[in-house]
Amino acid sequence: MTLSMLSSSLLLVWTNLAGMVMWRLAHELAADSDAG
Amino acid sequence: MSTSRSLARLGAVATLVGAGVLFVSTLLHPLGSDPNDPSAAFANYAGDSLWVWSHLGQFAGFALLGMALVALVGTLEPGRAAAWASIGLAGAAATVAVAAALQAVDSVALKTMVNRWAAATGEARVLAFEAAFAVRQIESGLSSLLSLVSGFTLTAFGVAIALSARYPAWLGLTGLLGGLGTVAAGVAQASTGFSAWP
Repeated sequence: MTLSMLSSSLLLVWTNLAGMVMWRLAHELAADSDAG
Repeated sequence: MSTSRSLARLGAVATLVGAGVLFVSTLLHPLGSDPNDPSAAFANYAGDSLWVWSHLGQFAGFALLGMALVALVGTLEPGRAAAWASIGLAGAAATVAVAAALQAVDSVALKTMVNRWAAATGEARVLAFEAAFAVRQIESGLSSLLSLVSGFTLTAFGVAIALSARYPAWLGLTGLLGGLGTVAAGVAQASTGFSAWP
């Protein structure tokens, strides 16, 4: 495994987490807008 | 639907699809040879019929992740978080541009040269190897610069997320650490080529 592959693998894990957090944020913003 | 909500949804989908495309494309990349052993690597690459597609797939994954970062900027509240995200926005555009240059060299130019080397005989084979090796050095340099630019970009977004009340602090801090780690990997590659992990 090369260093760039290792860093890419870790970044892929992070981007998946970021995607899930953004998806949750979209729902929270929708709920806020419905409540408002 | 608010712009922030649309961007959050767009960013989430682009992130998950982009990461998936990048992962699958990288799985299709031949990994059976040491990248620092050019003869073995070139023979491996010359025999790979999916080379161009796997690399264009990697670029598509990078472009989708860049799109996700652009969307992320619009979901952050005004103030310090948005200020850091503005810096990251320029980095996201630069990252996609460097990724495009890298794949132009790696997917098209290098593949053409290793095919030429594999088909050559005698003195022409020696010359073709040296030409392919020169293209390989350009690829290595661009790969190193991609790690540096994307690492600095991720660092800026990590700070922006950490400063935002809309996102968990752990996501920003891990992004910041991941960005700095990617910068370190880029520096190592600039010094040693495709560094093998011990």
